[in-house]
Amino acid sequence: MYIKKLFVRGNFDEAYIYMQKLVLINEDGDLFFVNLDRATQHLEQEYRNKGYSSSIPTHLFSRNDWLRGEQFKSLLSNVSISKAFLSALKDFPENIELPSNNFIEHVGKTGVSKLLDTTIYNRRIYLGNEQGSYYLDLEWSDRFIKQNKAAEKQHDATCVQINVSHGAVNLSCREDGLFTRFDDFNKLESNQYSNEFRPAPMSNTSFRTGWLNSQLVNYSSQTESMALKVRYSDEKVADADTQEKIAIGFEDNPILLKRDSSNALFTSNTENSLLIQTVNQELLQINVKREDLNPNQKEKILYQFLERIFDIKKLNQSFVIELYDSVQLLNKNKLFSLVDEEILSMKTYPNSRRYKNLTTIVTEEGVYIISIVDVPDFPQQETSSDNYGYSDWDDGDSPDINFF
Amino acid sequence: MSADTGKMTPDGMIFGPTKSGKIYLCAKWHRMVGNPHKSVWTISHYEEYLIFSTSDEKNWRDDKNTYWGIKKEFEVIGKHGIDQNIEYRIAKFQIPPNENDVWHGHTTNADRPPDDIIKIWENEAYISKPRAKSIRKGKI
Repeated sequence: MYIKKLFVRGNFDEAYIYMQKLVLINEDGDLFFVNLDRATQHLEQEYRNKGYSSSIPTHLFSRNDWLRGEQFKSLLSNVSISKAFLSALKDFPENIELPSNNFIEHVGKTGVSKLLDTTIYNRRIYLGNEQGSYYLDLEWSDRFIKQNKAAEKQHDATCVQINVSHGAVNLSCREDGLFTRFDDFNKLESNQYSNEFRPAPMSNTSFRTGWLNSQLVNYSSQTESMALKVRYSDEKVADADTQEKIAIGFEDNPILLKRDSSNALFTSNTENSLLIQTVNQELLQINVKREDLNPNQKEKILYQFLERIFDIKKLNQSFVIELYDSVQLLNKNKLFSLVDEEILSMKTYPNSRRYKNLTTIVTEEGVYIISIVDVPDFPQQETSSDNYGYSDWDDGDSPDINFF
Repeated sequence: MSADTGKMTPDGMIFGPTKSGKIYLCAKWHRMVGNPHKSVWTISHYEEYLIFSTSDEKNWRDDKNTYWGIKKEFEVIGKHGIDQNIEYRIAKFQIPPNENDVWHGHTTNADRPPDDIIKIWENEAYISKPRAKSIRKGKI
């Protein structure tokens, strides 16, 4: 397990990685970005001059997909190459800082200050604060982000979390409830839901939502949740690039998700399991059947914590966990410290192609882009087979690998 | 009885009056573990009173005349009546049913003060900016 952090100093409320950009929004609602391709190119040059292997910053912070690509895996099945890569990864500094002044570019003013949450979906940025929720369509290119107008308000209730997926925008508005707008981008020809947010059934309070087996779980507190069964359209969407099903409504009767009658300290979910921190501070994972959303009886203890969990995000096979004044990574029953201070925001990118290994964590000092590379994915032991074309080389006669 | 010295009664320790004239009871039922419906204070009687008197003096009051309080640095001030791993950092003081009744309060994580009070706490450095955001988002 290698954890490498890229720090971007500055006062920001929220950060989100999308289309090769680290999007940043400060307390006044000013929108900025860092071009990650440009930043990693700079880092490669800088660290090449210091004697480090040059491609590591790109693998870490810009092209996580290369770490999982078939070509790369084939290449790394050669033990010499694998060793060289792991050695370069190991040697690379754990903490580096981007010269912010040279890389943070101002886009414009969103008009939405003191953000409580933000997300980006289909090139649209969604913003939530005490005054309501908003969206802003931006022009994205390889080199820049262009803002042509201010954000438009879409709902008046204080919005603490925005969850957009399957074409549906879900606004968690605390005691005002959960509001959903289906088919936000008018993908369906038979669309009859757009432009109207409706209260979700039996969701009078909502602090956050999560997707579980394509159903939406509403959290009315840190410990209480209901699964809203989602209806999906059979209609082919107008945009052929859209892979996901378009949600069109909720069934009327949500399902209460509860392990037993005892108290919990925190509950959350992954795409196919519930996560429950018991009053004994154990974190449990319970798989959930796709058909009826009933939790299986089998519980897996992930970790015995010594304090209450505030938030959890999945990152590949690990979990990024917010505690009272730190953020930890839980990987295979071990905790690794990511940030040792209170945080303003934390995101992971499970549906991203290029940023699956990344988490972004916003503190009062700046933004950490943290890359987590799990080394067991790579062969480290000499084996007798599968040198993939390098069979003439042995350890003592391997080529000088300098493409990293 | 001075404002700073409590007086023990069958219902708990009485303090006050505050600067605005309120008498405060450190209710004994919020200091006895075992009741799942009653949180318990984990700080001294006098610290409990100080949280109330500060809230009263600074008028951290919502539109239902409920006062809200915290300790500087947002320290733990209470726990669940049974599950001692459930910690509370926010105090709630509801207006007594009768005008002449004493005030009392309890710790909570089920409720949250209004956003304008959270903002005051943040501005007066009782809590940090990240902590204020956590409270607004219902994480605490």
